[in-house]
Amino acid sequence: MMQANFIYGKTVFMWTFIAISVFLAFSCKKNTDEKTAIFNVGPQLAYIAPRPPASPSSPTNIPAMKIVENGVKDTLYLTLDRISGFTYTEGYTYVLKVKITITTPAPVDGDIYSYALIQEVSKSLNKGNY
Amino acid sequence: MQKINLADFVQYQPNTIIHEICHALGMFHEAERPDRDNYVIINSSNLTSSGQAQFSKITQNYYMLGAYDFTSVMGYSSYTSSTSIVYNTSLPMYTRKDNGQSISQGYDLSTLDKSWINTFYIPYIARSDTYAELDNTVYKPDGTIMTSQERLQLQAQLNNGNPNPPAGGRIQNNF
Repeated sequence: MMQANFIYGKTVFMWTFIAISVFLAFSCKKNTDEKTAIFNVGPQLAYIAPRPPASPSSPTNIPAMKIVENGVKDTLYLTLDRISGFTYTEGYTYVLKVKITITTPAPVDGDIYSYALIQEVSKSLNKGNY
Repeated sequence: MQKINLADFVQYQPNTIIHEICHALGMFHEAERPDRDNYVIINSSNLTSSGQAQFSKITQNYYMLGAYDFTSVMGYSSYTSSTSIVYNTSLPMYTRKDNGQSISQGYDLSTLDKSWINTFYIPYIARSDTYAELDNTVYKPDGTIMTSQERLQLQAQLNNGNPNPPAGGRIQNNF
C-alpha cells in the first residue's frame, strides 16, 4: 500500500511538473519574426532624442546613423550600437544587408526591432552630401 | 540576474532610473492596464509600431492595485521627443480621458507604486546560512511599518515556526 501511494505521489508530482513547465514555456514565450533588408547608411551622424520614459526635455544629442531602407519611405535613425556586428565610421556611405528581428511583446521601454549585420555590401568614402 | 540599460544622461532623471528598476521588479506601464481605456485616450495614429508596442494592454499574468494612478512613476509623460515612438513630436502619445489634459510621469514612487512593491518584496538581512532574517523595517502592503511583533510573527512563518535567527550568521555589510 505504501509502495502504491509512493508511485501515485510520484506520478502526480511528475504530471504537475510537466503541466507547470508547459505553462511557463508558453506564458513566457516571446514571438519573433525575421526579415532581411538592405540598409543605405548615410555618411553623417544624425542626433536624436531618447525614448520615453526619458523626459521630452531630455537632451536631443544622441548620435545616430541615418538609414534609408530599400523599399521603405521613412528614414530610420539608429544609435551606433543598434546593428549587431557593425561598426560605423562617420564619413563613409554603407550598403548593408541586415537581419531584422521583430519581437512581440516588445522589451519594456525597448524596441520591437533588433538588427544584426549579415553582410557589408559596400563601404565608400563620401565626397558629397548624402 | 537582470541587466538594466541606462543612458548616461539619466543620472539627472531619477524617475527614469526608478522606472527601469520597477520594470525589473515586475511592474509594467500604467497605460498598459487592461482597463486603461476608462482613464486615458491613446493617440494611436501618432504612435509608430515601436510606440504602440509600449502601449499594448497586459491582459494575463499581471497584478494591479487600485484605480489608474496618474502619479505613478510607471506612467509615461504624454509627450516625447523621440521620433522612433511618435510621428509628430508636437502631438501627445496619450491624454487623460476625463479632462483631455496631458499626463506627466511621476517623479518618484507613488503610494500605489510602493504598495505594489511591498506586496511582493520583503527586505532580508544577508546571511551565510539558510535562515530568512527580516530587516528591522518591513513595510506592509498598505504602506505602514510592521510592529516588531508582526515582524517576528512573519519571520517565524518563514522559518518553520522559529522567530529567532541562529547567532553569527549575518554577512557583514562592508558598503
